[in-house]
Amino acid sequence: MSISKKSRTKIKNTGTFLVFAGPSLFFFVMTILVPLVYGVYLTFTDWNGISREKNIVGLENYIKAFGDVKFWQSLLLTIIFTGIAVLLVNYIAFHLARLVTKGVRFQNFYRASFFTPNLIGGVVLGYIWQFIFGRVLVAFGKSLDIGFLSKSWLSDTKLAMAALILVTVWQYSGYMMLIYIAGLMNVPKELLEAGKIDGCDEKACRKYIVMPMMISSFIICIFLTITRCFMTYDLNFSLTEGNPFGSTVMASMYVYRKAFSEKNYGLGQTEAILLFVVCAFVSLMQIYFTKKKEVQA
Amino acid sequence: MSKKAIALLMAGCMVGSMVAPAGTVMAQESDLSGTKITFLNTKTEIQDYLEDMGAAFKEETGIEVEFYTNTEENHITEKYAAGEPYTIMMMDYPDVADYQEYLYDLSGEKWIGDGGSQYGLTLDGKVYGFPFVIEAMGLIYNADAIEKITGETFNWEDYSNLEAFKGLLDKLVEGGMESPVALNQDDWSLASHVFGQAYCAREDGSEEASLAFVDGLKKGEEDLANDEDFNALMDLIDVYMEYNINKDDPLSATYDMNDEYLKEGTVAFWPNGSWATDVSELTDNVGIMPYPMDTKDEVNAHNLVSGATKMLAVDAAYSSEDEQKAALEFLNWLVYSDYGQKFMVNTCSLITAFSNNTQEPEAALSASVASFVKNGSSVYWYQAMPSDHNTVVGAILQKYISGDMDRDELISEVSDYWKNHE
Repeated sequence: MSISKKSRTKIKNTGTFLVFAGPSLFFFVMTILVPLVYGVYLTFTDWNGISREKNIVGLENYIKAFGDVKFWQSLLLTIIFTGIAVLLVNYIAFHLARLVTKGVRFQNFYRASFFTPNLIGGVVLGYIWQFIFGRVLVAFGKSLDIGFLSKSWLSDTKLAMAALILVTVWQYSGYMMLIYIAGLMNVPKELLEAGKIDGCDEKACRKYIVMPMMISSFIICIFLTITRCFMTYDLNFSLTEGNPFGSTVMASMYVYRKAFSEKNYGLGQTEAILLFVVCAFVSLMQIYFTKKKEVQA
Repeated sequence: MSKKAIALLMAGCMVGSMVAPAGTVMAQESDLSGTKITFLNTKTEIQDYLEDMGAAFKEETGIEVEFYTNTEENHITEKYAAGEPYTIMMMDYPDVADYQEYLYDLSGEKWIGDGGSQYGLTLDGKVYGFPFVIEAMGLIYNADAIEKITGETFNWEDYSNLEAFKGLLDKLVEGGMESPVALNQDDWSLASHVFGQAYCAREDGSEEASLAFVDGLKKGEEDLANDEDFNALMDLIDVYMEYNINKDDPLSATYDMNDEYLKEGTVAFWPNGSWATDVSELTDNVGIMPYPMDTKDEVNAHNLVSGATKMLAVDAAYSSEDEQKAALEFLNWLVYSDYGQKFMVNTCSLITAFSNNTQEPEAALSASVASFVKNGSSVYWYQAMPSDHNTVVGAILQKYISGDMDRDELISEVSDYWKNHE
């Protein structure tokens, strides 16, 4: 019995798919899917991260996680941090992008310099800013007698949080600016021209042509900043280490400490999954609502 | 021959070549020459010396030791999860208990009789940790800085109670040293070393007294507010805070700056431990003394809190029998060979736990600690704190030194912490 023509094309198509998508599919499965599934499995165990023994404990970790007040506090802190940082990063990035596409002198130089902070890794960046907040600003504050600078920001609970946001904004604005620049460049010239002929001034052009055409850039940028801010660990670790007295421990750091420092892997993993769910929910909602506004040229 | 057959043949060859060397290693059972073992070093500062020592060891025995350095918190966990741990691992005290099920029982080794049983780490009656180094915690002083102001030779024994110590601090302030103490703000330093004294310097300073106290804390039976030894420490911490060079903003202190302050004599005292060996970079006239506090039985008037802090443990779960034997030989060689003895004490300035070692350390701070250890003037160092002790209790102490919390609140929070770890 010969294989029917239909199923032969099917096999051929699968083969082509495997050739092109196979390698990346393999790595996706091995580095994302398998760890995710294994991670979910670990949430049902009492594993301490070291022992050969893993006992299934059912939903106990989830019950504990929901009752872990400190975890929810750290998550709330992360949400506040993310909210402020996302708004600031995108606001600043968008306006920087407008500035450096206007044709000002040395605009390429400005683009490069705004982007540079993103090239420095989070940990190094944290240590640099630790020095700036702890020593440089304090020295300025003391010699010029500026009250709020004469003490290190990092030793005050609220200002330490502000410092984290400030550095995050400084780091990501340049990166998001690049995406906005690409978006601005892609706004079709003929639309703008047509708008001008129809009597739009610059403000109206921006409102009715540029902004709607930029929605896809906004989606990407907001998505990237939300997920990154939610998962912030490196900067949190190197700039404040959760100090002063544990007031800047954000969700990732809390989960890491739970799993590795306190050797409570099962519970830590459970809280990591909860963090993932919250983060995924927020970013997907964001995409869902902004997508609705998307237009085609 | 068909393509398939060739492919099979090639695959066969590859598998064969991978298996063969493993087989040959198994064959040489008696002679360990050629065995390769790995060593995890968590004291980064001695990595170069270790490699030199490894070369000397290889020359004598033919066993090759590869040294890796990594101080990441969960590095050993990762290696075990991957199924390829190091043969010998340098671990902190609490780690050994965590990994107990994987470790080799060292109770039958020769060095057990020469200090190994006293300083090694014993769990369930078996020794799992080889005491690599003895460290001590106390108050580091820069005698040069003190003598410059007082004009007299500094002898720490004259200032081993709080009143005398405070008198000296006032004298230093009068003499122009604005703030004679540098207090760390790092949670590990505050929790384990400064506040950690509370678990150690009790009654006669014995292991029993210390364990009984922590046990009482866990059961919620200790009345800290009226505990003389505990309040003695808190009174001293208050004095540290009052004379702290970082007093304006205690939480902005950095470890490196405090190190610098003491080295240069900007301050005279730094509560820390024997690992801060580079304080003698500018002068050899430095040393370490017990905390000058008024404990009930004056145990700390002449005894320093000291104990083995870095343990060497041998993997028994994944290493081959030859590798384990080679590791044991290496530990023996460290204790009994000439090279090993000189290496520990002179090259690395470590304080050794082994009584057969007659070398004298050269670094000033180490020599100061060694003089206590040699005389047996030590207080038991309680190191078996729960793993979240540094972050939780450290945060409490940070609040205390920055004035956000008073002693009563500290007592209630610390008591709660221990009660949750019953």
